[in-house]
Amino acid sequence: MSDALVILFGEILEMDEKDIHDDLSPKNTSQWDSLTSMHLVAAIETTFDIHLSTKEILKMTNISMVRQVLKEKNVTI
Amino acid sequence: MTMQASMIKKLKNYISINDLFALTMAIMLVGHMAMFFIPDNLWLRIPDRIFIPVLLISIGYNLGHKIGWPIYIGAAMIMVGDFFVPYGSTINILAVFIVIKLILDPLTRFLARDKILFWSVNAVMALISPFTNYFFEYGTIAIIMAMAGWINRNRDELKYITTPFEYYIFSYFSFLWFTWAVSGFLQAQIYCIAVGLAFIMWLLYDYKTLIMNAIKRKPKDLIEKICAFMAHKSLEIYVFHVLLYMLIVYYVTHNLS
Repeated sequence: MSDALVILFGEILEMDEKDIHDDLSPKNTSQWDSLTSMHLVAAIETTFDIHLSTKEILKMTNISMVRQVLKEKNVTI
Repeated sequence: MTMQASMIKKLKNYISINDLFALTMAIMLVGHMAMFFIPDNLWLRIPDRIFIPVLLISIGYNLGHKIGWPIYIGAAMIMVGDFFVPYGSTINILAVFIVIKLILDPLTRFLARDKILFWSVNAVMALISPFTNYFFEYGTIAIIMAMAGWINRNRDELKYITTPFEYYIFSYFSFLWFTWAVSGFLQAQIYCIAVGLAFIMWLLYDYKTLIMNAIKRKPKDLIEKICAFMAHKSLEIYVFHVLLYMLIVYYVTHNLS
């Protein structure tokens, strides 16, 4: 079953939720360019009501790392 | 007055970062055309001056996204082109992006240790920006504008040093000083830039709203699809048009001589 993060990534990257996996990153996803990266960060901040610093965003190199950053901020997905 | 305020509010809730990027790219195509082929007409360069902070502030705001190899290749290609085209100064915003991406985060964190240090270094960067412009495009003013974006995102980390509002005001006047010092604009042209720049800086102050507008408003009609395409392909458009203009200038120069 898709969690909130998968749904969010599916919407922003305009991809089918079944194609969203934890290894998804800008390196293996052509849609994930710098502009989309801004969209993703803003959507994550709004959906989970948090603020991400540049340091935290730099850590978010793939979906797995996004989960880890959110976990560190005590966000339940 | 209320109607004007309502219109401005509506505009802010409508315009997206994609629209601004697309508009910036379109204006850059015209601005660079003027720069290469009719350099004496400074009126055509005004929109270019007004919109360039869209790119510079965005680098700082979006510093978390790592630089990909296409930016290095694009910067190198333009650097080679720059060598062959007899133009008076450097033009390579991609090289500026790379420099900023590498130094902005450590520099801002270093300056954030002390308020006097922060403002002294910033004042020096603003003052010397016309001179540093000879070494890389926009010189140290590019760092100041990008820092405005960084501060906008990381406002809590600098709350004892400055606020995004205070720093946007500083970067606004620094950019105007830089423009006046390097471009040879007439007084009337500087006034036009001052008004336009204030509007763009005001839009960029609520950066997150611009992004959320882009998320909410998926491109539907042809115009919106073109805007989204131009925004996402800004790197390719930049490299292609600069190299094309350089090639034309090179061809014309060598045929006339």
